[in-house]
Amino acid sequence: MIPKLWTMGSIFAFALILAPILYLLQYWGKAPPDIWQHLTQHLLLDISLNTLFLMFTVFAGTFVLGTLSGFLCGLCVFPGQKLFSKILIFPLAIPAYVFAFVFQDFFPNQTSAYLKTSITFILAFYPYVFLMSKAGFKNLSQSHFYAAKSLGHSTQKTFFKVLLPMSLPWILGGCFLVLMETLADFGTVSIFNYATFTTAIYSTWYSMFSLEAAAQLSLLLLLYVIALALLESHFSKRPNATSDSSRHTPINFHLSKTWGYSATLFLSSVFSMAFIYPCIKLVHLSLFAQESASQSNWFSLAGNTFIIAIITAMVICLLSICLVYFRRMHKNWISFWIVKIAGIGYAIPGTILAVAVYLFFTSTENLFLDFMEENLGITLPLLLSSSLVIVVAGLTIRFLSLGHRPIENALKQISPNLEESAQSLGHSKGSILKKVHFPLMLPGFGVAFTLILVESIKELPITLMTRPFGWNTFATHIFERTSEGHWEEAALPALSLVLIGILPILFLNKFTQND
Amino acid sequence: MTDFINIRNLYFSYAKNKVLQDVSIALSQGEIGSLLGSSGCGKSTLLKLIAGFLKPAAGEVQLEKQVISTSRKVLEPEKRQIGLVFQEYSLFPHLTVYENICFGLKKPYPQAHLDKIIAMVGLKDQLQQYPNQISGGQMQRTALARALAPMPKIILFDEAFSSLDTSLRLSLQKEVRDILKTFSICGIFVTHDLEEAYRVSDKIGILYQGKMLQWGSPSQLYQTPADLSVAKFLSPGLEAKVKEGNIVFHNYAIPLEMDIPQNTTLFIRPQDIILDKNSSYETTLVSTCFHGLYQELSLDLGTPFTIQANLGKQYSPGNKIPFTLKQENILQFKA
Repeated sequence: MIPKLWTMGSIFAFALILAPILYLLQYWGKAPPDIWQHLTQHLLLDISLNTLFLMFTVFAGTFVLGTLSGFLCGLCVFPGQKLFSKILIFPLAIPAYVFAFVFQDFFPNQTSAYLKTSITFILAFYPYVFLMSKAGFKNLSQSHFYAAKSLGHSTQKTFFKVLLPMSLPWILGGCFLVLMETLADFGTVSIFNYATFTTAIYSTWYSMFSLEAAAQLSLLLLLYVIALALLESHFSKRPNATSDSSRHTPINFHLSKTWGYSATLFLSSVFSMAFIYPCIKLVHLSLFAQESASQSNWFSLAGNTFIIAIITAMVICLLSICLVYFRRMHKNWISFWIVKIAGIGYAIPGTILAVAVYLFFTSTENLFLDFMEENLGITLPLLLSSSLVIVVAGLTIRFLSLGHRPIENALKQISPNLEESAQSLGHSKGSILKKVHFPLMLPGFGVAFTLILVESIKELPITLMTRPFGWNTFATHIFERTSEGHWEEAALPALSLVLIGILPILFLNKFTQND
Repeated sequence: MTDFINIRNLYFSYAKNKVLQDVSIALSQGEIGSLLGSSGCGKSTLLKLIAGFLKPAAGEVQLEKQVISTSRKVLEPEKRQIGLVFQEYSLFPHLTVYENICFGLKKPYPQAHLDKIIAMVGLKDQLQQYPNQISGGQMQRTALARALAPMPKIILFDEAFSSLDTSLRLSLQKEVRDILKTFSICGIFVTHDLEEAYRVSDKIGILYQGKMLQWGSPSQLYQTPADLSVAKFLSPGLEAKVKEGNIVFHNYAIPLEMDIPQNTTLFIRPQDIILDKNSSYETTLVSTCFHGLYQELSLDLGTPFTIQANLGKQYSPGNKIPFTLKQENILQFKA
């Protein structure tokens, strides 16, 4: 009975992810000719170039900032190094669109949207590269450094010929994450009025009222994502710095006093700009907006936000259990691909998923309602599009891999011998799950639940584009208020998001410390 | 022969922890030395001092009569022409085997020289592969070829064979010794494997708690260990005392056949114990283990003591077994 449950759950997860994407594919070339002509003549080239320019600049900026800070914290010893290692990832707690509205009046008036967006993205996303490059640099072994030096290379040459190339796959891994986030972002580019694919999809849907054209644009954006994913998989195959030796001794460059304090000053400036300034600004705006509407409806916004996030986290945890058990019990290529495909949602921008799930669910619902009316004479009200089902489905697709990974890792820690021992002691599979697996996997569930909760709370495009009419969360409220220029009314929900977002960062710090 | 590398009265400390104290060793050109000692005794630190990655607190390192390390000045590691081979191979994972081997060479590469080294280490078919695509033995050969390619003055081996399986370790030890001898390159091995040290070395040094207990040829060390701790390091054995003309250990007092002063400490090694039917001294046979050419016998001599012998069928575990001592070989240490 239970094995069948895993299979059914896994097939459901697989279908839930694949069906909307496949459904979206059939919209290729189906955009209304007049709208599509308008888009190709006036928009497509601009948004393509804008997206490419933005990706290039953000890539370069985060590469330099992330690698430099990763190098300092991963390889060097200087005043405050341990503290910076922990706090430089704090900006990950701030959603990029919150950065955008915080920095809105920071830039001089004549600053281009391109520059504003690029700088905001670099500050918001550099922690991905920092985190990865720091891990890469920390994985380097002193013996590699010694070997290169003993072969006649100076420290500088050793860095550029050995240490940096060995860490490059890690650094590029971080950069690809940044590029994915850049492609997927909707809130920041909207706030700065920088036209990219995601803003074009939104405006085509909500201003031109053409879901077909929005679907066509989504598919074009999907091509970017696929190209990026292929590039990433190419680079991730490069041999990198992995410390598998028990004798691994990390490299520590002791910086001189001058260089050490310069490093402290530099990282303090980065942290101030990327975290302290936004937080102070948010607190200031929140206090300034004491009498605003956000204050009074904060509880209702928080309630809505948490309802969606908790339901999503529960659904994902359940589906993840099904997927990990299905894979554990069926070690074949079918289970491999089912699990693999179930996790692709995280790589797909929320805007695309919003269009895909909305189209799929409303079409399916319409077909069902028509069938009921024509064949049985029963007229049913709209259920899916007026409820949270589509939002939760969209968020589930987007964040399934986020929940699946920790639960899968937790299960991997449990040796099959343990299962066999329990079985030999007379326990059924259900009893083993309850008495052995579940208690041991609890930390994994905790991590998965927290990650999904926080990400769902911060998520903007899916929630914004698929929510029932009038249903607001922190994220959508921030977007609506900032779109109308009521910055101070967005501050308190934004500050709440930052505080919630700190949670997984603290988890991450604790985890990396233990690691 | 003049000393090619000469380490004189070297001291080194990490904070207040004295890691090396008054360590001196010397090797002639082409000689191979091994540093033996337990974990944390300072072996690897000594290698780092020779390679120039650490600065001594006192003493000096001379290479070809030139001082390369003192407490005031240390010649940079990249200028010393000293190669390194590590236990974990430390190959550069982003470079192919060929690129790894050439890493210490300047372009244009001396192809004939490279071909000779590559043929010697047997890596001709792996040159275009990455380190993660070759076996552990091939990785260690690559590391050796990489260290050999620039023709260094010395190669330092830090537990270089300890992660290889036994048969590979034995064959590589012989190959490496042959290669070093062919090129007349000095080698210093850090190891805790006594057999490895015997197999590859012309000189062996025993380090204990940062002090060099003895430095000499393997036979010199074995036959005339400087003190009891060196003897214990090189072989298992029983400690005994000379008392009133007897060799005294556990419950035994066996008459001395030589003139040894009272209270001298003796160290009885397994080969000093002989099974002798005519002897009046007996011990209990605890267990036996068949090894083909010989048997390993565990005897109860106060502590379990293992010797190698060919035992007839008349004895089985639990039996009393007569023995005597080969007294002329027993090591003596002044009280």
